[in-house]
Amino acid sequence: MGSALGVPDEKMLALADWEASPLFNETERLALEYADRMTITGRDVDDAVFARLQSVFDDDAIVELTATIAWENASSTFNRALRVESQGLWKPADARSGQDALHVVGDTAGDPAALPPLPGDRGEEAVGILTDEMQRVVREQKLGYVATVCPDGTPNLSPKGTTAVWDENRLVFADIASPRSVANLRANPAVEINVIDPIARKGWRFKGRGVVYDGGAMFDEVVAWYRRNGTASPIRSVALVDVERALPLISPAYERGATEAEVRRRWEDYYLHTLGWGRRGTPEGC
Amino acid sequence: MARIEGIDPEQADPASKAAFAAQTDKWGAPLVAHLLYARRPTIYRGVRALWSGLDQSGLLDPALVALVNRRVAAINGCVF
Repeated sequence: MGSALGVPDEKMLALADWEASPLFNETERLALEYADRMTITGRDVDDAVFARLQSVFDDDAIVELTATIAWENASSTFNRALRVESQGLWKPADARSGQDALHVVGDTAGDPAALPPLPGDRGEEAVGILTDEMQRVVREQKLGYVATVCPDGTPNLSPKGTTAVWDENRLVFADIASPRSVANLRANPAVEINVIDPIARKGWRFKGRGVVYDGGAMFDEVVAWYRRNGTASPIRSVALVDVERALPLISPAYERGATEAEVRRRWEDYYLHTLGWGRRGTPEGC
Repeated sequence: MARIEGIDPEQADPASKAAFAAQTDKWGAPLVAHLLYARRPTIYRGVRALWSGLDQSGLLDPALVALVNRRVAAINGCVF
């Protein structure tokens, strides 16, 4: 899709973290912000954002953009719920085999039988739900907040220092001292893991289903991986989480116009100077 | 494999059959989502009309539409 339309691959691949990427121009950033606000639960299109839209697009174009985003939401949730798989019609340049099967949007205009390469049906390469950016955050933070469901329906939230990326679709954590989380998963596989960068005030919410292994080849493989990566504590079981949905978690500070550099400065100052986490030795005053 | 099987394109109504043939010409096979929508022909006719309408409206740069669509799909966990 992207290449046929003149969109560089790196831009398509940078969409997961478009706010931090320098690849997008102001018009694209505005359209993507509008799309995020229409799509992500809990967000809204406020008057200030709409005024910015009207300064860039005329009203007819805004209607087209809004309908495009609304329909893509319908189309993609249809595909996701029914687990419609990729048909491999788009691949990054380094994965292409010399032919680009896709045609540009609009090349079927006037042909009532043919369908354009449509939103949500364009069959881009199945690269896994965990993007490079998501994997980076998980690998850097080394801490996931894991929510499971107790038998009485109440939540159980537990930080796991063993949270890691297993592959492009799965996260993993080890049961070192997590009897409640594991017991919950055995009874109800529903799980959500939040991984947050506390300085950038950004992170990801991963929802999915967990499978617990306390023996067998999978257990042995995961434990061996933890051992190779420095985990020495006894591991009673491991939980592999098949991520079905990944959503960004972003501080409202960004919605008020703060840049990531500004947010980072504020929280670095808080941790380093207000709390004194950067100092060695005894806390001040002792 | 999708959770529900799509229709056999050979058994589709004439309009849908023509659409699937066009997709096969373009991409080598009918699109799976379309075979699913086509289980309910009235719905499939509606979504095809919407797709065509969006496509032919044509005010937005197709490259911008591609970016927006991919972003929304990713948020919704639609892995292409």
